[in-house]
Amino acid sequence: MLQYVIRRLLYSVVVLLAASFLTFTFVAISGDPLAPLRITPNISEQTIQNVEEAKHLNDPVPVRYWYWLKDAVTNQFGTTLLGNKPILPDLWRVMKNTLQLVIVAELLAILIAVGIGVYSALRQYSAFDYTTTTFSFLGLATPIFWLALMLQVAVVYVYEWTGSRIFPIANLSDVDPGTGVAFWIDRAHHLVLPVIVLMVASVAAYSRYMRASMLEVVSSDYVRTARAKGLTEKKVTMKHAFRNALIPLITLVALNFGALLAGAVVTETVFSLDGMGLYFITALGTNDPYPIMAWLMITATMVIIFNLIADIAYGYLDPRVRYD
Amino acid sequence: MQSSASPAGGGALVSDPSVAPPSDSTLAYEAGVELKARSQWQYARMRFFRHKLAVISLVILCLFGLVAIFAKQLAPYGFDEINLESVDPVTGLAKSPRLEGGHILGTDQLGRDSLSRIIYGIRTSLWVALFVALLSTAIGTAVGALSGYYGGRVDNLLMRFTDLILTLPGLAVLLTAAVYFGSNDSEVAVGPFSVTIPQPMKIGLILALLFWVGLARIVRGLFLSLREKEFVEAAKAAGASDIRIIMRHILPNCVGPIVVFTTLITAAAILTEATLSFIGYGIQPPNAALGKLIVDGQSEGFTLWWLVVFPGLVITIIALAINFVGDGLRDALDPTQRRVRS
Repeated sequence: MLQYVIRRLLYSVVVLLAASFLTFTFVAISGDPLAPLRITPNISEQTIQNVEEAKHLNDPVPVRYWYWLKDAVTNQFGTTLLGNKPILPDLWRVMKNTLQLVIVAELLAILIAVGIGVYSALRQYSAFDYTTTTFSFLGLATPIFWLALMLQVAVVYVYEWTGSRIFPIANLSDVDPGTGVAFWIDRAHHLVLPVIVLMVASVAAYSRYMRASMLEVVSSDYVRTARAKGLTEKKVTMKHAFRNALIPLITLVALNFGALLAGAVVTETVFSLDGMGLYFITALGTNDPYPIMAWLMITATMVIIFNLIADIAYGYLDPRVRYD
Repeated sequence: MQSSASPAGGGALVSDPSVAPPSDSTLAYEAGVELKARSQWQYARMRFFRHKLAVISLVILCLFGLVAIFAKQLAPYGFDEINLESVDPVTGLAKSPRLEGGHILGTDQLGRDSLSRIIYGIRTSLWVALFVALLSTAIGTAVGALSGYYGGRVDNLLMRFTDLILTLPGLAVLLTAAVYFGSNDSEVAVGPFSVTIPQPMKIGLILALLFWVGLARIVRGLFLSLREKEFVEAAKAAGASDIRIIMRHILPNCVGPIVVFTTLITAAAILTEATLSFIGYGIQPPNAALGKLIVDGQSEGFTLWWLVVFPGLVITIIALAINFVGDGLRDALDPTQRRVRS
């Protein structure tokens, strides 16, 4: 087991290095990060050359990659190209914000989805089953950003008709959020709409998955055996069927959670939330390879870790799975 | 990352060919007719047409396809045509949707007809989605077949590449690629010829290069199990070449899962392209795309709600219809995974 984890981690380091080299090349050969400097009128050619010199911009890409790697390992991903702002503190800040959003949304989504999935599997082809199936198809077909915009439009119209601002439609906090409990109430208020938006896709996907998995388990031999030996229906459902049906969902959730830590790019953009996704979009706009690289490395590490957690959890919950 | 954007890991769609012939004879008995021999495809078609939603969705998709093909003839106004008929004191040139006056879905602040813009948007978006679906299905099937059949080094390389792709967050990779390679038309010299790759096609290429991975994994899995089957052994014993075995014996058994996964890719392509365009790195003007229409509408403020609502509705309807068709196809081609009991 330990051997398995170590081997996976070592292998991940190789994958990370390959991925980082690819992305670095990709970003380095195609964008000009100094473009904003070049169009600023009162910056001399000399200054630009100095920056190019200091940041090794004129070196070949592999050499630049080497400099970046050294910086990333020894100097916490270094600083931004223009302005020399340390990257890591910014990343921790946005990750904290993203975590708040994602954890709340995912927890709620799992609770709702498991309920829907189990109930519609137990009452297959009932009105409830058809309704939730239809809604999950709708949820999977609706563009997330459009759903977010629709909610904003709705809130704005409610404001125009009634004059009351039911939910904020942008930012994480008010200009003056206060401290302590007041701060968290304000934060929760701001997170309502983003959480709803994030939940829709997750609930749709998870509930379909849960339903399928539950249906499979319910028609399996050991559930029939449990019934045959005279257990109550409640015990059969909860102890024998439900627990086993949960296993595949846990894997899916772990994988999805790793990906969500990359930030709900769309949701954060629409609601201007200061999270991982918006950070990445902003960095992309500046052509600065360093924040982009730091972001990609951190999120890729998260994805790898959560993949590993998913695999280990699977083996723990389902002892039939063997590591080799 | 929105999970709906990625078609990877589409679930177990593996059908065992040894149980493939479905026992739909009950249907014939119910109808009171004599049993007559039907081919696999006739059975599949029957099962598909029994899935009402899928049939309706197919009709809707065909209609949208026609709209896309005949966009120029159907659109009442040009895509960028500015109509200066009347100025509203509140909204300026923008007109809200109304039945009379020729602008059923309203106009934007430059007086451009919404309906016409949406029609042209459907054309671009559907075209890109179709391109992505065909290209990634072709690549995914080819790579998956080769690595599943031959195993060894090809297989190893493919799996390592899949790991690489799956490690990086999908939308981030797409965005980075779109920003650096996808922002304008480009000339590619092929020998003496110079070909212009239009910008929407480049976005399609970028999407396809990411979307084939999931399919390759599924096809690889199918090939891994099918190549051990007796009929492959028999074909080998009869002296069939590898190419013949792959094309004539194994691939036809994979058609079901491939087709179903292709529909998933198409729906994902529509949504992802819209998302890219929404963030601003997708399809660029002068090309119209539904996602781009939504951003443009949003930038004009929420009072012009019709500019945001209708293009989004169209995207949702298209994606929903594709998903239902996919569901119907799964019922039809993959009887082991049937959703509707027959």
